[in-house]
Amino acid sequence: MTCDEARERFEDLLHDRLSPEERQALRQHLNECPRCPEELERAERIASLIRTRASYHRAPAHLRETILRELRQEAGLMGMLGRALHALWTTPAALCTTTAIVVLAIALPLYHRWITPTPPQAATYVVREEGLLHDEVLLHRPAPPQAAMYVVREVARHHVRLLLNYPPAGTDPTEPAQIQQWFQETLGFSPPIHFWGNQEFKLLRGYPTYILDRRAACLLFKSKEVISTLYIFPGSDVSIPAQGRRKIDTYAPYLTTTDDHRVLLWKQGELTYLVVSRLTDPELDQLFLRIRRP
Amino acid sequence: MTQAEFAAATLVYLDALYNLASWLAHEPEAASTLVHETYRKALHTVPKNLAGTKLRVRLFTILWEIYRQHHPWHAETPTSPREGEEIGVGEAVERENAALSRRLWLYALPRGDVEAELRGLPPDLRAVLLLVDVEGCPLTEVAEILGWPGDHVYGALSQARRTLHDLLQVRLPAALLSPPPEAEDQS
Repeated sequence: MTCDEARERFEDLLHDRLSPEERQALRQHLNECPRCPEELERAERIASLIRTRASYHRAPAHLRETILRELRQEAGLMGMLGRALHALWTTPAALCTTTAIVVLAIALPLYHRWITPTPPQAATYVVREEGLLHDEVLLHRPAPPQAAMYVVREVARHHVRLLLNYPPAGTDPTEPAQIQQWFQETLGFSPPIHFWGNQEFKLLRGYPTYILDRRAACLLFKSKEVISTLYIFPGSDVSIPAQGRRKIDTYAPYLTTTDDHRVLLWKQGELTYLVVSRLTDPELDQLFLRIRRP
Repeated sequence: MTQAEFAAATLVYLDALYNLASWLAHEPEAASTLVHETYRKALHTVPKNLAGTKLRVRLFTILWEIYRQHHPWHAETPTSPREGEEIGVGEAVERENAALSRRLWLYALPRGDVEAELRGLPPDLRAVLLLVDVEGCPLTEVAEILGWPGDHVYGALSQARRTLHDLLQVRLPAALLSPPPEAEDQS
């Protein structure tokens, strides 16, 4: 492996996107190369610095509302257009006219193509080859790994960003009904949330976000000045290790530590749940039971 | 995907778009306008069957295009990488501070210093750092978003990191004498 090849893989290494074989090959190069380790260390250092020390600006509530309103209007316009098209096909007089227009729209280009000489084949092949190459590159890109540690690190980073920028710009609703409505409007799935906070674990806010490039529900709880974050997202492809389980009542979620945060991971049906927190294990058990028990 | 589903899918990326817009445009009002225009254009140009990372790439691409239209700060070519260029001051300070551990180095820097130097980078280098390090975009996606050749992204990313690293190294001795950053962050 050359230095250029190694450095092109640094980002994938930092974001856990390498297969074990690729990781091994890169580590071997790093052991032998006098310059690449320094480059990688600088990359790690700056990446970490930006993630932890540069503010993450969240969209203000008024912007979110404006965009949501326009999106709804647009959806309404598309609905009206759909109804108008439906009327064209169901009204007899309009049906004849519409049919004639459609037939002409299909027939005229075909006629034009029939009387026009065929273009040279070579040009067509070039375009096809480029298309194939592009598709092949896309197809052979490794799918993002959904191993437990990858998911855990992703949510832990998200949690740290949240804490560093807390409270986020704009205000989020704190009423469960408002949060649920927001989730319904944006997530595309309904997270079955039974626990909306109590005296011990106060609900701070909830909002939709994305984890692993998929939509996720996010709820923040506060207990004794410690903020814990619950993430829920469709994750049937997320594998949970058999080792490292913590026995909590009749349940056995996966428990691990990353960046000084405790992370609990479990699945309920097709949904994956994670809690990231600095609570002690017994406190974390209590929060887990509140969330887990129906 | 229905129009409503598409709208919901795009909203998931609102914070990410706004964060990049804020770092590019500096002013909250300008960032809001930039994101608003991005959504308006996306509604009429993005195929409704796009989802996941492809949708994210398309939205970031639109935002970047609009930003460039309104801020023609540079020529068509992005900032050229400076592979192998020596930076004397940074290296000298780096030697002086070689004994500092990585963790101390990170926590010694106040947030304001990091943000000031990040804002001082050229917009294209700022964008590539935020897309890679904050949003976790692969380099192929960044190339698509910024409209760069694929082999250019790593060079630009490396240059951005090296520049930021050297600028922050210069600030480091002063930062070590300042009050702890934790106190500053709580205010």
